[in-house]
Amino acid sequence: MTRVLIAEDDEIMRAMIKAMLEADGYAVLEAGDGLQAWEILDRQGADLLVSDVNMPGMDGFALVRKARGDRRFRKIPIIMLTIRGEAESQVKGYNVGADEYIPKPFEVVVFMSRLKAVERRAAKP
Amino acid sequence: MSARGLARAGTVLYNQETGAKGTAMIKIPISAITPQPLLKDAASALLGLGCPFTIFGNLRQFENSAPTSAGGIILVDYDYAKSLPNCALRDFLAGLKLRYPRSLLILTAQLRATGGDAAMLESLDAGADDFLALDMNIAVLSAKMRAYLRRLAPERPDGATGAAVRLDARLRKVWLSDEGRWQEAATLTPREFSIFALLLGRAGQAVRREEILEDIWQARAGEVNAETVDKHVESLRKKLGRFGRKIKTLYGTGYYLDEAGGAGYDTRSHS
Repeated sequence: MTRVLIAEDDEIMRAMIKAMLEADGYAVLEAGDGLQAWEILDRQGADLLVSDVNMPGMDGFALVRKARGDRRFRKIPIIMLTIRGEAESQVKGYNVGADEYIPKPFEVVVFMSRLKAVERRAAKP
Repeated sequence: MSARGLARAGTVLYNQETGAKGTAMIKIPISAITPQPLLKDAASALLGLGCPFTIFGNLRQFENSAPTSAGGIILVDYDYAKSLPNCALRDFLAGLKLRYPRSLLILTAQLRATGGDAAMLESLDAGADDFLALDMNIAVLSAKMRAYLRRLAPERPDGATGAAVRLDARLRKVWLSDEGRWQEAATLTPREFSIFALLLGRAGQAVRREEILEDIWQARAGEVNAETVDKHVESLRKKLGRFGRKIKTLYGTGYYLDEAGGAGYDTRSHS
């Protein structure tokens, strides 16, 4: 079962993403901020990371940069999920190592389709 | 060469400025299959990636020239794919996947307004690896294409075996291998170390000055002159001695770390 780590400080948003993923058969790990997300990633690992940008402690950009700097997570699929949809923020998200950048709000079906596309891209030999 | 001229089908495009200088640059081919000219800005962005970029007017042209073993990015015009007779989008993509299993298959729309989320969802549900509206912000298009290229880039040499350089991010120290013997390099400033780590993390790929500014100076990037980056890189080269020569300049663009000679690296702690 694919394990998805959700790093999101908004409890309602986190619960919604968790419900979407679990309904589709994913196992979910949850973190309320970037530091907690890194601790989980470091100790337990994950198959896919969904990260918000604005989080206390360590923001999403720093979390993704840290993950990509560690060879264990160099190829992990990463989706950034944020209300900061402006171009500069998206470019920064991709530049620090995200595979996908989905602005909030989003439709469930759009989120799941793009998540599965990211998984397909990551599975290329 | 005008951007308009770049967009015609049937021509092989290659950006000499960003691609030809580095013998060890990762040259992942990018192909666009589209009977209609690409948007000027999108064509310029794709060309600016420094990879061999070819536009094909139709699927037959592409299949006649592309070896199936090659990995790469295949951009297919959504309207063209939908117009093929007796072939559902899902079957079309499945056929391409069989022939090009190592490639990313991306469906594209010239204008987001004509397709929107419906075209994207249809494409992704049919098995496309992604869907791009080519009228998106050009900087975002370039950044997303680079994310694809990262995905397709071969794994770099791992661990200490054969590595030419080791970094310790915690101690901010660098060790260089000289015929199998490790020697600590001259002390780098925090910014020099960060720039070096950034280039190492994307070894073999072009890193633009703007990206270095954004990554290292972050919120203050707008206050710093691009020449400041050049000065830090020059100092970095001197401190790294022979290894410094692996940091290549991409004229007018930025830098890349040459991987020629199997220069692996290791960023684990060596305290």
